[in-house]
Amino acid sequence: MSTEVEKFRYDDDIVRKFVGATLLWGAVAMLVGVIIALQLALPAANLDLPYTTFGRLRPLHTNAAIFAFAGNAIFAAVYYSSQRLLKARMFNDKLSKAHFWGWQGIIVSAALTLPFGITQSREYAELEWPIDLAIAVVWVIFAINFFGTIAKRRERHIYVAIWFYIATIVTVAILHIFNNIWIPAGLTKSYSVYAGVQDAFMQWWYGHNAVAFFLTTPFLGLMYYYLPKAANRPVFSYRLSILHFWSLVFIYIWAGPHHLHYTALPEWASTLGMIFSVMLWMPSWGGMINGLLTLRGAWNKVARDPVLKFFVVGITFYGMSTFEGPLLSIKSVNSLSHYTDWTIAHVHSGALGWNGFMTFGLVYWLAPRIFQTKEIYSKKLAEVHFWLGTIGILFYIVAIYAAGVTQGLMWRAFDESGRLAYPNFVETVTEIIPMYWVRVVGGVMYLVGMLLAAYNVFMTWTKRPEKYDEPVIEAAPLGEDTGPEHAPEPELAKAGGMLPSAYKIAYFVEAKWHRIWERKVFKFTVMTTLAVITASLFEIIPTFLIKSNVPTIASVQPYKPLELYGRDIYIAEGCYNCHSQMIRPFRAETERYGEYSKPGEFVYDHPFQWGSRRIGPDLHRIGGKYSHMWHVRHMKNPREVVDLSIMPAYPHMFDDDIAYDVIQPRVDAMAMLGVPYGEAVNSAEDMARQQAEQIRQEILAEGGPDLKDKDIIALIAYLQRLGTDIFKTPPEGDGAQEPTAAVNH
Amino acid sequence: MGLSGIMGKAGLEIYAEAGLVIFLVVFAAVVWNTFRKGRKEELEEAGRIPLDDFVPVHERPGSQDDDEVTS
Ligand code: HEC
Repeated sequence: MSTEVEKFRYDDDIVRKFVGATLLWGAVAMLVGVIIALQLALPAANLDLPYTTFGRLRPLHTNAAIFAFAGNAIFAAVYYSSQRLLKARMFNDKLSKAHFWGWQGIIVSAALTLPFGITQSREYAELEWPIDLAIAVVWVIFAINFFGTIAKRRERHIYVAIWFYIATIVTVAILHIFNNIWIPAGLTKSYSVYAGVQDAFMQWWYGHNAVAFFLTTPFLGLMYYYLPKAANRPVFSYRLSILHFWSLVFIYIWAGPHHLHYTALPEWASTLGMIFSVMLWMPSWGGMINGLLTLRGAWNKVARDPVLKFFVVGITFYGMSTFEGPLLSIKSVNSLSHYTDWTIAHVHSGALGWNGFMTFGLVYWLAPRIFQTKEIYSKKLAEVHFWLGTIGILFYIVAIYAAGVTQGLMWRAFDESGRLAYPNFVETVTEIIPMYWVRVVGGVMYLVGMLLAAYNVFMTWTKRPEKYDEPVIEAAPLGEDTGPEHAPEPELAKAGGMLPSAYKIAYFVEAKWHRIWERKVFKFTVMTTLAVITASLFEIIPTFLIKSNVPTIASVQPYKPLELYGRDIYIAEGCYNCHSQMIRPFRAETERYGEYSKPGEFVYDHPFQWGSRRIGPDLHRIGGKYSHMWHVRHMKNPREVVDLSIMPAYPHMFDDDIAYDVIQPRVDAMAMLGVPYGEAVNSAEDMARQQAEQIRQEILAEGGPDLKDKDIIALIAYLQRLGTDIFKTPPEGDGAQEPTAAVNH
Repeated sequence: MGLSGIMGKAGLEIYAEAGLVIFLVVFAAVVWNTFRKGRKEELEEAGRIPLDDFVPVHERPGSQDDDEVTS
């Protein structure tokens, strides 16, 4: 064993930066959250400006909450704890800084694009392709810096928190790459290479695992470091934490098939997927109990320490959300909960309760240490924050659960004569408006708490010493690893009276390789990567098989060029944040919306627009339901047509001109993806102009205004086309190569 | 034929299914290895790592394998 001692210092400057960014972006994310919550209670809060409508701000809120608030918190936690757990300064200070500034640059570019309608419309992956590339670069920088630090570590055993970080870095990279395969159609526009059902599966494979590997594993990693630190005792059972880790990595991804019932997936695999989902209850609750039991005998401390209070409530919410998740994957529950606010309540108990409170605990614990003030500026304020936050969450989720269940039940209610009890969709909206107000109150409380935290940390910072003390740490470098590296020589085994093959079996069964993983980072990472990729293939391959399983419907044709452009407006405005395009085969839905949606209807939908929440009605069969004029009046001001509507007004569509010059490149991009555009590949712009003129004339004929070449014309072209193809007779012969569907009127 | 067609015809499902079985076995082995008696002390020692940030450390005795062939 080496007795030499090396001297080094930890880099806390980078931690201070990430903590500051966490608080800044947290305030922004929650402020935008409160604004959009208010918009649902009070539509005037959309301000009739294009940049501030619900559809454009909601992605800003989710991205800011996930990637800016939680993201920066994760990085702060990782940079502080990894250096200490590995007994090494970060690999390279320049990389740390590049990571920090790069990430903030990405956040700023998100804030500068989403409100302008620059979006891919894939939930939690809305950012357009140039930003996606930047994310990939910054993530690689982070990975090099992190693995570099591990490589020069001075602690042999890699503590479980680091395992969770490794899984995060590897998996997020995989998710990001596979969910962002597109063809650019200009600098701020791209089309997903996947279409319809495939695209939906890809997107929710991403969504499912992003929750696991961005909002769960890194936070568990930080729990396993900071909770013992704050409680000043080791985790209740370290072995349980190892089990927790592997069961999440193995089981979580394998549980994915619960999204894939009724697909090309073999029946046994689908069933196994469901069993795994339910099995997830065990490790998740094991993890929660492991966390809470760490505090055994220290509960008197919890009463006095806001940091521990935040952790305890955070961990409890982890337990709640991971209980509810599998519950929601049960089909009968899902048929009620899907598209309602129940899902919104679920994600907020996770985001506000688990991610938010773990972050606040982390920040309050870190602040006096990184600013070297011994104490936080005001413990009292932190207490107030704790109670404001807790009560705020309760207001929020109780009201929104109630809203979700109420609306879900109203949608499916029939009266005695067998007709829909609430045929008018807006009735089911007005019913829950009071609960939306309660949410606003809860959200404001949570936001105020957040601002208190920012103030408290800021004041702590003002009390910092003139020059930070940078204590010198001493640790011995790692000598040669003397662990069980290779399967011992067969001779040795023979000497012990064992056949070589028997020895190999014993080697495997005794899982000596696992002890090697625990210390050999490279092997460990490779194994984690393999686990993730194999499990993912298992989920993704069936989605590729679906193409052959989706029965093609001969009458379904590509969108005409103008309709495609109109569809892009629909995407840019974020209509999918409020409207689904997926009618489920339940009588309550077919009565309300019409014929249920068939997979074959979406084969040209790059990207899919199924949506996930019905704040407004489903739009899949909106084509032909109303006159052009109805849409003209409704889009200009929904409340002029439907008294109590909470939909934003879109007056700007009546000012903005159709950008005919972008239509050809977009059609070409679609054609590259295999959409049979035929003749339109050469004459998209002309075709668009013709169709626009036709609709303009029709609106005039209905006694409407002259809307020559305005965006609204393209949007109407799209809306009137939606869901109509299956009722048409298929085109004959060569015609199948051309877009033939006509505009309905 | 697009990407989906190629992937669809490549007959890759079997790999995913075999993968599932392999990983299930590996997982079981990990669980067994973690919880078998011999490792309790070593792992509980590792669980204390977060608590000594600032303590100058030498290689931890527990990080050497006491039950293994050492070189
Ligand atoms: C804040 C959520 C919200 C957003 C964003 C939103 N809508 Fe709506 N939408 C509603 C609500 C609520 C209704 C039901 C009341 C009404 O008809 O106005 C509705 C109704 C509609 C209807 C009538 C449906 C029917 O069957 O009667 C259409 C068409 C429509 N919206 C189109 C759009 C389009 C296009 C966009 C994007 C440019 C959009 N909506 C954005 C909430 C929204």
